[in-house]
Amino acid sequence: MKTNLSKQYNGFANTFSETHDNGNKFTNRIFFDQLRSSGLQDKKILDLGCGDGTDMQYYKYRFSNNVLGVDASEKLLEEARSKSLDVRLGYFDSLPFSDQTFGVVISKYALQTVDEFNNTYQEVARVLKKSGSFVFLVVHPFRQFFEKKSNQKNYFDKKIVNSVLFDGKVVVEEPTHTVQEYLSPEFFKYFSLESFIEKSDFYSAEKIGPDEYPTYLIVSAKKL
Amino acid sequence: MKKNDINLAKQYNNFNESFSASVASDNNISRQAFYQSLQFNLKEKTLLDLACGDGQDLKEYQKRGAKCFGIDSSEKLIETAINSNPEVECVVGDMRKLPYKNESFDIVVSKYAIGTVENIDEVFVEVSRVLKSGGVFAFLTTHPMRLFMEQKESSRDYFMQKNVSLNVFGGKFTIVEPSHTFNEFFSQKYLEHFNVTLFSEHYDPQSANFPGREIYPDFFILVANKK
Repeated sequence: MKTNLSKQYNGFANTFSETHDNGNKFTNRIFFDQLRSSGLQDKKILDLGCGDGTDMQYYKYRFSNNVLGVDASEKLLEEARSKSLDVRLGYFDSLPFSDQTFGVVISKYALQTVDEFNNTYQEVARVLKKSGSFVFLVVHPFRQFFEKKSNQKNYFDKKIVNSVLFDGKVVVEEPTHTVQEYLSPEFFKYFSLESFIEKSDFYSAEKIGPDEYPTYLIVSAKKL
Repeated sequence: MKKNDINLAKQYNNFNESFSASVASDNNISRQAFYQSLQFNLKEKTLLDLACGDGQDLKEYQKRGAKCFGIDSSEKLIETAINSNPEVECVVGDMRKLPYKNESFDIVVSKYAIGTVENIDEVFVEVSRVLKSGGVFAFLTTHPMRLFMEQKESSRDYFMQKNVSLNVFGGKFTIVEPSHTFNEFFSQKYLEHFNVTLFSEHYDPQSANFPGREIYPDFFILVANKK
């Protein structure tokens, strides 16, 4: 699954870079507001799933000179490097950084691409300094439930679903998750939950049916 | 808000006896899941059951050694609770105005009740007030996804509060609850007062005896310590 996911982003690296900045503008506003209230100023920041580095540029401009990125897609990293950003190839469950390197780990629309989070949580806790912040935005599990699209959907069944993004410009495959996978016992072993925000943004996500349901979820936590 | 509360108390009054029988026989999945979330010693602990109903759970907590208190808005259910268990202190009252002093309890538990009020923060603030520092607050309540999925409107809105009719105990009863989002359960107020230690989502096959129902969580459990 890891390989497929990094490959799919390689395949549409160019389109993705063009559309995702614009397509996420409503979500970005909420997410960046949340980051602003998390005390990131002048901290050493890691962008987990940094992609082409668009957000890293913002973090550098807004919060700190010290911003690093990690991503599984070589093609997207090439784009990030062309912006003179410090990025590494790596997977979330084995981060290429030493212990207690960062004051903050940020991740936007990336965590949901992995099958399970326990190894990632352990790795994020390892590279974070004590009391460091971990703020992530992911696709809301309820949205993934609707993306299952079958007649007999099961919230608890892990499926690979097509997520249609940015008015159909991009389609990605992602494993579905439940809220309890994000707020797992492993999560509470390493972090204290500081805030939990769910919202909908049907510009960046395909709207399925006539209903209003949450499309993304922002979790802020502190390393224990 | 008041109108809704009165209806909620009344709806339970109306089906008291049969409700008790159904709770005893049919409610095992949520009960077992909740008891498993309380994996700590209750001996000598002061414990309050918010919306204790007819007091069936209090019997379990008492067996595990807790000094038990119960509160419920239904007079009839409290009457049953007192009659069946004279050793626990049960009173009729409102979860948002608890008749107890500050820092009275080591543990506050609640099953299928927190979600019956419209503004849950009012309950959180009261629970925090009556809990000792470091005390445990564990509750089980209807899952926000169920409250969304079972709205009857042709276009449902997760973010707008509506009263939702839920079939419980295999369709034997219908109860009405206001819908809630996870934003409300993990509110800033809640996270200000509590450190979460456990969260789990559950599906109850008994509630799914309806043709074509998709499988989504029916209830969730949240356990925390007062900061």
